[in-house]
Amino acid sequence: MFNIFSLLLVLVTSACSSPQINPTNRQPPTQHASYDSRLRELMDKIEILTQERFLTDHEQDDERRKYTQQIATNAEQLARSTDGIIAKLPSLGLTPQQQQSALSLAEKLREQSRQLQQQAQLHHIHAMSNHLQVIDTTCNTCHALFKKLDR
Amino acid sequence: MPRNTFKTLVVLLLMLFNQNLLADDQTLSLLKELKAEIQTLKTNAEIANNRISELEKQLAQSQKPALVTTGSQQNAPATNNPTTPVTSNAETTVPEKPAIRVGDVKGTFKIPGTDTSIGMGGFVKMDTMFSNVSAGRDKLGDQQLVFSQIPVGRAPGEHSQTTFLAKDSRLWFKSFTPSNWGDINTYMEFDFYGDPATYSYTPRLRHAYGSIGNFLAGQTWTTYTNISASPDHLESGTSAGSLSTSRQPLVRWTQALNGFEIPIEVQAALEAPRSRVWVPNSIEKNASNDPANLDVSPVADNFLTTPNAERYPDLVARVNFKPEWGNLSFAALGRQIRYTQAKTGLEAGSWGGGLNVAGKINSLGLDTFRFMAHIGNGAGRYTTTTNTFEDAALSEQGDLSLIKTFGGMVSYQHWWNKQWRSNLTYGYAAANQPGFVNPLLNQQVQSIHANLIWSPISQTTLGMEYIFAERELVTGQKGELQRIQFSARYSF
Repeated sequence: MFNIFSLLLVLVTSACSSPQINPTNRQPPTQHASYDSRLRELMDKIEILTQERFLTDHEQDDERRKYTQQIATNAEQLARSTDGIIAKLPSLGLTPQQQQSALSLAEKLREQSRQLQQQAQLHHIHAMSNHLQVIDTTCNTCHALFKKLDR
Repeated sequence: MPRNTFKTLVVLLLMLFNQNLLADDQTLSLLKELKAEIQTLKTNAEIANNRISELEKQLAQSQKPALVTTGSQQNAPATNNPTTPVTSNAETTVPEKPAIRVGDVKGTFKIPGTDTSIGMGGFVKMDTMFSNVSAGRDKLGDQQLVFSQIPVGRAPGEHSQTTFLAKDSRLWFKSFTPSNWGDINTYMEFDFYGDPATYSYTPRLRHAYGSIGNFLAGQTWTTYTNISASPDHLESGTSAGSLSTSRQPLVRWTQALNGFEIPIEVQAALEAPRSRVWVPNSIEKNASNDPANLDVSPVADNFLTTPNAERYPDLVARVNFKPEWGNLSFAALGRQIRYTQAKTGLEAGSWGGGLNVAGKINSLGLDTFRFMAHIGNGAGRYTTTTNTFEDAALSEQGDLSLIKTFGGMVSYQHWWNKQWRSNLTYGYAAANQPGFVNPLLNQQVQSIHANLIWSPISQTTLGMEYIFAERELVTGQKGELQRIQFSARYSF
């Protein structure tokens, strides 16, 4: 009786610690979404700087530099977070072709994030806006194809 | 061999031969077609190659002047200007005009031949204001919020006022030049508030400064005020409780501190000393203090004088914290107020100062929370709008008393979406006036601003704002202003 109970206990605890329900394994995809959200927020803050009625244009330039530095940091973190996406792929039950597509999109996201980081470090605001749109397209493509599989 | 068999064989052979002939014909025909196509492709390729050669020659011709240098310019530093073309034996070259290039900072272009980027911009702003009470003929108080000009009581002729104004329009120029000593920036900005008369548009210098690296000199916002914490209003003044939006000549050093998790910078400045002192008529009589010139009713302007006797500049120090969630600043002011009596030559002076904390904190989404809080002794000039409180008061005995002031402002900016936003601001400021001063001086002021602003694109802003402002005199009498303002701003 005790052995059966122990066995049941072991089975239950092992089920609770199974990868599918461990919340930490769901973190990488959420992380990249939060970095992406933060990037857009920072770009919005740059756009609304012109509405600050007392800041001189010179002071607005200083504020833009502060925000572009933050964008560079967040873009670098977004690029790193794609490692988590790639690590998650084997557990999604994809076909080899789907795996390849997902991997390709993740690597594309990484490359585009790095390019955004470079543009932000150079304070090229117009180019940053274009890169964000490109990242948006990549994210939407991946979400349309694979997001439901991560549930 | 029987004859029939022979004939059959011959016929079979002929048939076979004909088939072969037929196959050969088809093949030949196909070969001919292929040959013709190949010939056509060859001809097209030749034409394309000839065209490419021609274009390469043209390109080489156009680049030729830039590749040729004179002996004196070989060691010159690299500039944007193409070098002077050299006349060769074989051909003459046409001097090229340098192309205009994008500058190193947003909204600028480079001056050809230099590393300097220049830009200009500004906006046209039209304000329409409906006030429940007028500040008087050609008074600044009808054009922006000026607490000292809010009528107290009712005087003959006081009535509601409509004002149409474009004085808040701006024009600015800026430049940027990199150098081994640090970036060199210059900035000049003008509006049209040079003359308080309502429909007189005299240009006024708002900013005129230059900076190299960490050192700035010229006229700009006083270091004592964290201007980024100012509320987002349509009216060109500021609220009660805000620090003054003064611009004055100054020299300032800004130093970023490294090694901290949060970006921190410290600023130290020497600024133009200018004080406002209340002086009794027995010591100095001027137009605003002469009882013969005062209105009967208490709807009079300030009674303050500018002694212009300062010996020391105003000393300001500020620490700025710039985390990702906004910015926070702490500032300290030290200044000497001094007055010399013209008749007797007696001098009275005292050191005073102030402290303030201000910040702009990011809230949900694009929303921000802004605040200022300050306390001072002899810092009235840096408090709220122009001439609300004096810096000091001189008694009949010639003793100088610094005026203690305190106040604060809170403002919340909410973005409904990326085009629509609103701001709600409350401010309050008060002064401890000595008992011997004119009882018509201000004791306390407060204001509320509420607005709705629409910016369909970044270059256009339309909005409506409601302002409630109140001032209370030493006597306890109050004056109230209610104003609705419509504004349209077009930036370029």
